[in-house]
Amino acid sequence: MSLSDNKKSVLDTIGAYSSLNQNEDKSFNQTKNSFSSVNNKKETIPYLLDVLKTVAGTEALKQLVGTMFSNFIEQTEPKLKKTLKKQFVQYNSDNTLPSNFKNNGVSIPVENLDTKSKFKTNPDSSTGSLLYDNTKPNFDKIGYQAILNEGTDIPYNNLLVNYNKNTDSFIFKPNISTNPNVTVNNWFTDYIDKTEIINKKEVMTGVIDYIFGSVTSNQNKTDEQIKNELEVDKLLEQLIDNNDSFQISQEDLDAIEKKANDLINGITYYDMGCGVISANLSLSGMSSLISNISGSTNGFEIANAIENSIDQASNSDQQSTDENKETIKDGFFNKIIKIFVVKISNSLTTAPQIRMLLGISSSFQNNGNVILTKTKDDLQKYKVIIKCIINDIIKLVGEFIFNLAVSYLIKLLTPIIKKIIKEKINQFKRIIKSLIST
Amino acid sequence: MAIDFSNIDSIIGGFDKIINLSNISVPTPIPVPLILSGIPKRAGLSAIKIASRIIKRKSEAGLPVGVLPSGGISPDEIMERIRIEEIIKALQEDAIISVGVPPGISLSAAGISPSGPVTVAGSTIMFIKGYGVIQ
Repeated sequence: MSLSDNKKSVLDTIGAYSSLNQNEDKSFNQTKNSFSSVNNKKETIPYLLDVLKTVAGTEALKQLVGTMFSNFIEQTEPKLKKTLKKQFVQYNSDNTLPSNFKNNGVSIPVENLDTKSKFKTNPDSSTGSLLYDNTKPNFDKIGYQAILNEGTDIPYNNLLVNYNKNTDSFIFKPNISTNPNVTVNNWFTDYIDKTEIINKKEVMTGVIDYIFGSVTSNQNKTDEQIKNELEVDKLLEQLIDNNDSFQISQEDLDAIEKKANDLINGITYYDMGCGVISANLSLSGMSSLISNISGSTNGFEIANAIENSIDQASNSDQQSTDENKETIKDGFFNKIIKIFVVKISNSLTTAPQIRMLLGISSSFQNNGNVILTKTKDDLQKYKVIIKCIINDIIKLVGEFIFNLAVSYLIKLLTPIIKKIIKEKINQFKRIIKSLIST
Repeated sequence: MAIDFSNIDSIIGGFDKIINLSNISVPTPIPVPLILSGIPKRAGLSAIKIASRIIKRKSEAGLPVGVLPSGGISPDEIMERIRIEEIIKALQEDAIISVGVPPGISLSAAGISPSGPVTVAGSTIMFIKGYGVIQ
């Protein structure tokens, strides 16, 4: 059997069990026969989402979104830190930090770090309060602070951050006064251990903004800037989907152009197959959503808040039956999960602090020269590291969705197993009765 | 169950293991004396009886039972009888029933030797094959 047949077989079997498990008095909304993931592609997440949807419907996707925004980040951050630390173990890991780094620091232009022009936004502004987590120290806030306090060393963990206005560059030095002989490996490990790699609020903002453009439309970014950001996201998305060509097709470039335009206008269009509907979430709507969900650890609360926002954002002048409302929600939840994985990948591959670590690491291997240019080009340059990180993210996300699907499957199968056992007992009784009564 | 969550085949295998319910509830064997005493008394298969029982249960699926409003017989019910007749015909005329008897069946036998009649107690030492027919 082909891969496509194997995928379909699992989905059909689950569909059959769902059908068998329906009570006679309940109407059963038959899951669609056409699953987008049933093909011979080796991508795992779309298939896992289809299985989850087949087992438990839209509610399961909604629960997944809620738990991903709450438990997933907390559970996986330590594991992903381990992944990251592995990538910075080099041939010279046992050497002490290069004296040039200790004395002069490593200089990296801001534009090479700040892929999404975040440092141009004041953390205290209405958009900035969504982009930055102002509740705790983090690299991005320190970066902004360094820009405001040009020429001053701003300490952050085992790092000193300084901004040079003339070159529009950051100068990074190790903050190692207590341990001047620290090794390369220990310095990277210490930085990663002490810093927050995935910030829940930033990921949430990134996901919701990618869909509705509520923040982007208020940032005065150029079309070109947004397209560059979307191209980086597309390349990460392709890596997640097992495509490491680092080439974006013309069709996808056209879609990016359109998406950039939508983001500038703060509107999203959703293709339902039989027509396109629009949705938009205002900046205040998004602020209220993010403030509701970013502090919550309750997956159900988060999922409900997101669902309410989707309801409010979908333009009401369009005719909506219950069935297409569910289709719209499925579409949004699927999109949210897909973008969530991209944003987690962003946090571990293209976020300013990761670019800073890559830059410093590259300078150690190239006599002090930083090998860092445009993020889009660097993805390919550092493809071994990037692919390893993405692969670990896929595994963790896959395991998370698989476990949720299995928990639903057990709920689905338990009554079926009971029915089968009862059926066998009744068969036995019937046969015995037929043998003695004839 | 070690699953590689970056490998689609491994994930499919993981789901297969969970949804494969073939090992659930192996049936209890029917006592042999009951089979030997009960089977010969059975009436055998009847397409009409089976079809009528299926038609009787159509209401469980929310389908109407009986003649059509026009007074004619429902073609669906006629088709039900034809279907069962054909299935039974195939089972009776085309099915192959093979029976395998393992070695080690206890036996006692009587025979004659040059010194006179003998009684033997032992067990079969070969696999035995038999055929059957559905009635």
